Formats: sequence, structure tokens, C-alpha cells
Amino acid sequence: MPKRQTKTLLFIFFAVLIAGCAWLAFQPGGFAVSGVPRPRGAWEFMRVALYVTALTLAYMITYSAVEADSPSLLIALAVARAGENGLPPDEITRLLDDNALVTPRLADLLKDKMAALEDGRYIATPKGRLFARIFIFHRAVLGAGKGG
Amino acid sequence: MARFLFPLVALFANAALTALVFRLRLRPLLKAVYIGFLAGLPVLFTLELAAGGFSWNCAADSITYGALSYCHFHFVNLGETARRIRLLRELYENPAGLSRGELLSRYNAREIVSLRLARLEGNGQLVLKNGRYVSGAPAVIAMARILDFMKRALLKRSTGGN
Repeated sequence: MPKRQTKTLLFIFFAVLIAGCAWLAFQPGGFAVSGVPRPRGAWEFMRVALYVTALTLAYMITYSAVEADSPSLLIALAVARAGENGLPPDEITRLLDDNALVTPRLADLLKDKMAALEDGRYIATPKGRLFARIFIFHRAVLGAGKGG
Repeated sequence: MARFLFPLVALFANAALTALVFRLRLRPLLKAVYIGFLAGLPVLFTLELAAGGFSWNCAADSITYGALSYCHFHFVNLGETARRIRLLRELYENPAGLSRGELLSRYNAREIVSLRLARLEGNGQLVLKNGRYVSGAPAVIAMARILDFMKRALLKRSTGGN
């Protein structure tokens, strides 16, 4: 597995998009079998690009959701595995501690260069500050709290 | 207007209505997102009809709109529940940085679990019986199992495991 999987997947998807558009631009006929017309002109290629980009982003988001362990799903699975007896709240809190829930996400921030560790202190990088600003703005538009 | 912009216009309508419905506290966030998605569909189809009716392009634009709306749903969800975003926000609000201890005093596993238990109980996905949580609605369990299956297939590991 590559170290930065998201970046690698994005590279593959957009390379396929560029190669596909180049092939469509230079091949003379349409899709004879399916009857789908070949895109003509810059606007139609923009539509193809938007279509592929939207599906690529949807795939990437699903991949990220699969990659990380969602606490809600961890809780749901733990409770389901406990069967009819269920689990007391304290047991759930014991199973999911800071090492399980916070440490891996901090490591992700460092790996994705959104935060840096300097003299034992975590500091948001310019990329991390940009991401934070986007979400702070969106949460302000929604009139919502910090989230988490 | 260039036709390829139609799904983006519908997405804008979707996001604007989601924000409005939630901001006015007419519905909870998840329902506001569903309402926004449904509201974007007539916007898309009206534009398609005005531009000459339904065609292959309309089918492609509908798929594009669906995929963009799915991304919008996850974007909203990231702001609401993502631990990384919350940690980033704490760091953003403290430009001098935070030690691990300082970070954990602001956001920690106890808070994360407590927020999620409240959400899962509020949605009926968990039920508290005699001081113990048991499964409620099966949807979240099904979702957990699907993601666990995908994790095993794609990443060769299970949920919560290595």
C-alpha cells in the first residue's frame, strides 16, 4: 500500500480522466454498441470532467470512511456483539479510550501535513489552518457549534 | 448558462436550503440534508427541461448531482462528527500550539463517546435498559457490518482491529 493512499488514488482517477478525454477527442465515431453520442466541444468535455470528478470524490469519501474507524460504528458493533445483555456506558468508555479515538487522528493530521509537532506542541500548518477555516465558516453558516 | 453547470446549480440550491432549514431549526441536521437533496432535484429537472428536455445528458447530470450531493452530505457530516476537524479547530484557535495533554483536556475520548451515545440513543439506534445499552434500530448495525466487510475486502483488516 502506498504511504499516502488518498493522493495516489486521486492521481490514478484524474490520469484516467485525462487519458479518457484524449481518447474521446481523437476517436472518430461514437459508442457504436451503446448508442451513447461522443462529447463534442469544450462544454461537453467539461460535463464529462465534472461527472468523473463528482464520482471520484464520492469514491474517495467512501474510501476515507472505510479507512477510519467511526466511533459510532465501533460502539454499535460492540453493543451488537454483546447481544441481549448489552454493555454498560462505563464499559464502552473503557473500550474506547484516547489511544483508540484521539491518537490515530492526531497521527493522521501529522501524516497529512495539517499539523506539525514542534517541541512537544501540536501546531496547525497553513494547510491545516485553511481546512479549519473552511469548516469554521460552514459551521457558522449553519449556526452550529464546534461539532466532534 | 452552460449545461454542464446544471448539477452545480442544483447542488447550490441543495446546500442553501440545507443551511436555511437547519439554521432556522426547522429540522435536525440529517433531515435538513435530506430536504436539501430533494429540493435540488426539481431545480435540476427544471433546468434540463428548459434546455431542451431529457436526454443522455440529463441522465449524466442526475448521476453527477447525486454524487455531488453525497459529497455534500459527507462534508456536512465531517463538520458535525469528524475528530480530525475538531482537533484541527482546537489547534487553529490556539496558534501557539497545544501539548497532547492540553489538547486532551479540550477534546477527549470521554467526550467523543458521550456525544455519540447521546446521538445513537436519540436516534433509537441504541436503547438503555437497566443501565446497559442494547441494540435498537438495526440500520446502524447493518451500516457497521457493511463498512466492516468493505474494510476487510479493501484494507485486509477489521473494524477496530489491525
